[in-house]
Amino acid sequence: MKRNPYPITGWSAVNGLGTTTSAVMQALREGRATLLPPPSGTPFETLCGTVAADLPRLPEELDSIDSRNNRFVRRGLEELAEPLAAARERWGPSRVGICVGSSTAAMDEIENASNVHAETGALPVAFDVLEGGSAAGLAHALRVFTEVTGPLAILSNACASSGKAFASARRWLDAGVVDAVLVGGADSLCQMTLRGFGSLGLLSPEPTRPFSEVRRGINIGEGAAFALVERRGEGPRLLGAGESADAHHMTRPDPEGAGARIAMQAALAQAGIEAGDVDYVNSHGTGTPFNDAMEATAIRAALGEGVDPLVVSTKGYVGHTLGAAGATEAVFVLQSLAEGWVPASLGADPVDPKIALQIPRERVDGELRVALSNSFAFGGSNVCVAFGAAE
Amino acid sequence: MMDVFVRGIGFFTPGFASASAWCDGKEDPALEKPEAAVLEGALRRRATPLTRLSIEALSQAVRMAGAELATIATVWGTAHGEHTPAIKMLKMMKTGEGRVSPTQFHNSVHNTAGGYASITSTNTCGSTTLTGGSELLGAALLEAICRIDETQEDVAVVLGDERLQSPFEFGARTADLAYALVLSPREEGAQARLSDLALEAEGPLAEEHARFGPLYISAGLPLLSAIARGEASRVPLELGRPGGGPRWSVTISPGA
Repeated sequence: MKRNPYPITGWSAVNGLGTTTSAVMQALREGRATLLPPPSGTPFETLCGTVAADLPRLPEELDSIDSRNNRFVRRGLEELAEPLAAARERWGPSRVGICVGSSTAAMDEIENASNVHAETGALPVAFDVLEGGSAAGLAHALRVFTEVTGPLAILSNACASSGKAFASARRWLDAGVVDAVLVGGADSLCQMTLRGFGSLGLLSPEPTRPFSEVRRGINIGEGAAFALVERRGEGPRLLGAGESADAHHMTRPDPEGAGARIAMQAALAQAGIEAGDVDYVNSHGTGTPFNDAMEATAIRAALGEGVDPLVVSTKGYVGHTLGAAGATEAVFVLQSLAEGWVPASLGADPVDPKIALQIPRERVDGELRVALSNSFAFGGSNVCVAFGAAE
Repeated sequence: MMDVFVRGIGFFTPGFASASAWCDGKEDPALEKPEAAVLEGALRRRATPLTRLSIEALSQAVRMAGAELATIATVWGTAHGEHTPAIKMLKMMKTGEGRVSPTQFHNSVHNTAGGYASITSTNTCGSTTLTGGSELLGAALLEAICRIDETQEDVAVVLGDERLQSPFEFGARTADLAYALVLSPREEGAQARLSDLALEAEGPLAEEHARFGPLYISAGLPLLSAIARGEASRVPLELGRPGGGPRWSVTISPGA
C-alpha cells in the first residue's frame, strides 16, 4: 500500500573518506577511495575503510561510554546540529525520535577490556559492560548529543541494521508517534568482525571490486551516518521501504535472490512508483562472488526487462561499514538526488559478463527522480529503501 | 498510538518453562535448558543458547495464540546479544593465530535468533532486532505496535538475554531469560489489552529482581505478571538509565 513520502531535511557522514560531510561527498563525487591496511595484528591480508583522523575524547562525564563508535556518532551529529536544532524547535523534543542501526557497537571496547583482563586479571576501571560494552552506551550517547526525548531504538540486524532504521522510522511517522526521526547508523572496526569475515574467506586482499569479473571479496569499513526525516519540510524524500527474510541460510544469500527481490518490490509498492521510475540503485554490492551475482539476479527480477537504471556499489569508497552501511549509502543517495549525479562504481572494471546491469565506471551527471538503496545481512535479513528527489 | 491485544505469552528461565509457572512460583530445579523443539537438524546443533532460549519463548507464544511460525512477523530485542559466541571468540582470538570459528562468527550477530527462526519455519517476513539499554523493551513494543498499525496483522515480540559471563558479569547475579508476546489488532479472545505505551517524564521504574539483577529486559516481568493475573494497571517497562530521562510505561487491562 502506498504510504506518505517524508522529506529528509539534513544528512551527515563520517567514514574513511573524511570526518566532514563535505569532504566525504567531495571524494565520492571525484571517485576517490580511501582504503588502508588493517589494524596491526589482523591475521589476514586485506584493506579497510578506516577513519584515519584521531577524533577527540568524549567529555569526562561520559568516560564510561567513550568509545571509537561514540566519537563517530558525536562527529556525525555535530555535522547535523543545525537541522536537528530546528526540528527540536519545530516539533518539540518529545516529538523527535531516534532510530539508529549498529551491528558491533562497542565490540572494540569489549576486545580491549578482554585483553586487559587477560594481562592483569582485572577489567579496566572505567569499563562497564552494561554501558560502555553494549549498545546501551550508544543509546546514552545519542540522548546526550541530540537532546531529543522522543522514542529511541537501536536496530541490530547485522549489515541491514541502518537500512531497516528507515523502514522503522517511516512506520513511526505513519503511526503518528513522532513528527521527525533522526535515522542513522554507526559501527567501528573491531578484530572480531575482521577475523570473522576472514574465517569465512570473504575478505579481499586488494581494494574491493564489486560487480567485477575479478572481484575477490569485501573490505571492512567503519563510520557513522545520519539523516533527519521529518513530517514536513524541504529536501529529497523517503518514499518507502521493503523488508524480507531469505529463510535460506545464515550467511549465504539465496542464489535466486528471492528475498532481495521481495524487498525491492515491496519498497516500490510502498513508494507507489513503477520500476521504470528508478534511475539509480545503490546496491549492497559487497564484492563477494555470491552477493553480487545474487543481487544482479534480484535487481533484474524486481525491476523487469527493459528497465535499466544505473547500478552502483559505493563500498569501493569506504568499504563495508556493516551496521552503518545502510545509512551511509542512503546519505550517498540523498546527495546524488539533491545534486544530480551518480558516483562511479569503483573497481567494477572489467564488469562480470554474467552481470547484466548498467554499471557506470565514471560519474554520471544528470537529474534523478528515484533511487533505491539495498542492504542485505547475515540471518537472511533484507531491506530496500526508496528515495525520491525533492518536489 | 493504537491499542493492541495479547493473544499469546511465552517464557523461559532456568527452573520455569512457562509464564504461568513463573507467576505461580512453580519452580522445577532440574529444568536448565529450553526445549526449542522447532529447531531441527543442523540448525539445532548450531543454535546458540540465546537463540534456543528466544525461540522457545516465541514458539510458546505463537502456539498459545493459534498463530503460525511460518507467517507471523517478529520483533526481537536483546540488550547484550549473542554473549556465548562472543565470549568464545574473544578466547579464540588469544590462541594460536587468533582466528575465529566461522559458525561462532555468524552466530554472534544480534539477529541470530531471528535468522534461525525464519530459516527453520521458512518465514520470509522481515524481522527486526533491537538492542540498547533500559529503553529496549519499550522500543521493541513500539516497533511491534507500529508494525501492527502498518499491516493490521499479528506480530510476535521476543525479548531475550543470557546470564552475563566472566569476566563481564561484575559480580552481578543474572540469569538466562526470554519471554514473548503475540500482539494482535483483534480483541476477540485476547488475554489482555495494551494501551497508552508512552514515554513519561516521571514514569515509574521496575525494580531489579534478585534472580536477574541489572539485566535490562527483566523490566518486563511486572508486565508479564499483570497479563497472567488479569490485572488492570499501569506498568513500568524500564529499570532506569544513566542520566535519567523519560521512561516507558504501558497500561494493561484484562482482555475481552
